[in-house]
Amino acid sequence: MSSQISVSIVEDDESLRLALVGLIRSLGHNARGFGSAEEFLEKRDGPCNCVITDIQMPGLSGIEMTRKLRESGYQAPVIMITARTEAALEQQAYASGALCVLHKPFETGALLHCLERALAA
Amino acid sequence: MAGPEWTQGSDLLDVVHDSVIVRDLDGIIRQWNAAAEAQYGWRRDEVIGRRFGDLIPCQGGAAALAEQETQVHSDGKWEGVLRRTSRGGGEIWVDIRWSLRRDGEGQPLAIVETGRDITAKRRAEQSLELNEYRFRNLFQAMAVAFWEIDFGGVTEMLLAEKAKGVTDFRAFMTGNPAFVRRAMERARILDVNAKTVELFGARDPADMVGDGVSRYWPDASLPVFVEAVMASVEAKANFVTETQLVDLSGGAIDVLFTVSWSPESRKRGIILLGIVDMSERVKAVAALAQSERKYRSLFHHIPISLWQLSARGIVPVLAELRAQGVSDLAAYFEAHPDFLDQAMELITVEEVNDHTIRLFGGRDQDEFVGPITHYWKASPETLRRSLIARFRGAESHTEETRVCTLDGRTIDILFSSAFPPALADLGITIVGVVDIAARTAAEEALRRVQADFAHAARVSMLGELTASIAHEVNQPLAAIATNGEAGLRWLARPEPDLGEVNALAARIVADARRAADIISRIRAMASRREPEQAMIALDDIIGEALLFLRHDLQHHQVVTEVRLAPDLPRVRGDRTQIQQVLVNLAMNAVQAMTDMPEGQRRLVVRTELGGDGMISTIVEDSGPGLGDEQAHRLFESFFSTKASGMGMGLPICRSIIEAHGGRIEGINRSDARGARFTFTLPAIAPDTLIETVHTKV
Repeated sequence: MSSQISVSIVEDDESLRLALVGLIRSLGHNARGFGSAEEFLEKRDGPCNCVITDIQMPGLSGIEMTRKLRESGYQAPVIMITARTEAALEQQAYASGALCVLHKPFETGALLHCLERALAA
Repeated sequence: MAGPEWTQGSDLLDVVHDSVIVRDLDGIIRQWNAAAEAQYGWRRDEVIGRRFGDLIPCQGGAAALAEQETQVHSDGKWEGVLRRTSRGGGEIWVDIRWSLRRDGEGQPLAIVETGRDITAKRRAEQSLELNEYRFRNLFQAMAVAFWEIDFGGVTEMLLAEKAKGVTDFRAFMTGNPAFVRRAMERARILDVNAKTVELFGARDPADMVGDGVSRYWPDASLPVFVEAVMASVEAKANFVTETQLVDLSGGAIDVLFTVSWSPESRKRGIILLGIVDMSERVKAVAALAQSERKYRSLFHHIPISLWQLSARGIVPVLAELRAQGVSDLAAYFEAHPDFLDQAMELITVEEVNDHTIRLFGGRDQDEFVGPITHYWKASPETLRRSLIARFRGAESHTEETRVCTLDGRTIDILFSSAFPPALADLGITIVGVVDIAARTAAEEALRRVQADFAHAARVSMLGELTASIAHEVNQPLAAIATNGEAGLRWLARPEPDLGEVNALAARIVADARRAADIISRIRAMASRREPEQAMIALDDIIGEALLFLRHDLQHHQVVTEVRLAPDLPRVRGDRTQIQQVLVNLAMNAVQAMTDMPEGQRRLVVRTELGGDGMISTIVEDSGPGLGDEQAHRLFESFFSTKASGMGMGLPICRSIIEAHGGRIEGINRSDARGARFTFTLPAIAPDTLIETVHTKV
């Protein structure tokens, strides 16, 4: 069975991006991967129920991307993942409009929990 | 004609001391007494009836005899000293008187000769004359200043004192300098030679003759005069000492002073002073003594082990080899394996200094004297090379080697052997030995410290790379975890999508490898390892370093630009160490730009090939640049502008780059604001053999 849920993965690290796409698909959802924030902002089309994005990327960061999305009225929930641990960063992330902030390496269960919350919203 | 009875009175004549010879007017011997027998060695019966002139050769020969006889005929007598030859061929001198014997009518009858053998006396006189002649010659010609002194007056003075009860003349004179001075005045100069005139600055002997000797005697030399007088009193044959006299202008002269008396001259109260100018000799000896002291002092106190060897045994052997046509001593050593040992036995130690005794564990010099064989047991090849060098005509040979001490140790030394021609001719070889164990140990300790610091720097640097490391490692770990989770889900489905699972598994494996790779790279960075030498492409190192740093760069919003020179030759060195330098410089650049507004943080890394065969790697930032204080102290240990910085990064970088044969510097950019750090490394020509060498650096 296929789902109508589509998740966008924004992650510059290819192996992690593929892994995340694979994980979402294993849940039965659609998943699309984007290699950068710029690519997502430019090419996003079609339905997107949730965005999972890395914070630190070359070029635009995940936080800036989310800010921009919110400014343009984008409503889809955003889950951020990061390897950084500073509290200030987390605050910024939430402030820009993130629903969840996860730290790498993350428990997959935690990601799925966030996803559930996001999709329920 | 009837003559007197020739033998009349011969008994009496035989008793007389003088020789009595009577010959007739024809020269025929008629009487010959016992003394004549003794003088001339002819017996009476042998000579009677023989012509005198035939038997006894006379000085002047027949002509002289004829002349003498003419005189005796005219004067009735003749006197003189004649040299005659005795029967044995010996020379005799005879003091002769002739008288003419006449007969009753007054007609000459015979010549009566009396003769006294004065040979001994004559010889003594001649000897005396000769000596006098020699003396006079010597006196004048010698480079010794001679004075003939009339000492009689001094003797009188002494006798006067003796009469007053003085028994110890030496003590008396020592206690009476005024007496000595008076005695000196009484010692009058009778004659001086040319050298004296010259030495004492006179113009003519007359300037000195007739004087006493006092004016030439400084007070300090009074004791010498006293001793000279005592030598005379004690009837010594001569007296020699060194002292100082004074010339006519008052200048001091260092002299060797001798006094001599012959028995005859002593009787006459004449003494002979001989004075040898010692000034030059004194200076030379003093200089030599000082030089000798300096040499001795240096030889014994220099903190280098010095040896004086005798090569007198080996020199002729080597010369013989050369004469036989041997030109390659190395080949000769190969062909004659015993020769080296033989050679060692021929070279002997003559003297060593104190440092040698200590270094080689001896107690005194004597233990070292003998052949050098023992010391070379550990490294005979060094001595072989030294002999080859000597044979080739070199003047010295130096190398690091190991030698055996006297107390069972083997020590690392720097051995230097010198055999310049001047010394070699004397068969002397000088060896200097420097103990490099201490040096080697110090170098080793330094290497360890440097390695420790480099390690600490790497670890501290890695500590500052938290973001990069976290990302580096966490990426593949996160991917693995995610893939694993997905895989489980796929497999839990009623209809597992095995294709998906396969792809997943493959990604897991790839990620695991990547993680292992990253971890081992980090571990390599952090580990304490021996530096390795390999051929390195700087492009690769720059790429890796920036990859390593990309997350930090991203985090700090630093834009990186890389401009690599095309076809850059490789460099030789340790990959990790060079990377360490690059990472350090890049991190410093990032730190410098922290306070710059976003969008103005630019890092440029570029390479250039210089005309001098050095490759430059340049790291530029767009930060505030270097302050004046900073610029000078950049590479100083423990100098850091960061609150938490150890300040070890740049000094370590410098030591790494310099160990690789390059240089590193940090200046302000000329084209924009910011700092520029450049390190250079020697380019290796492309066709150089590529080796990977593990070296202790």
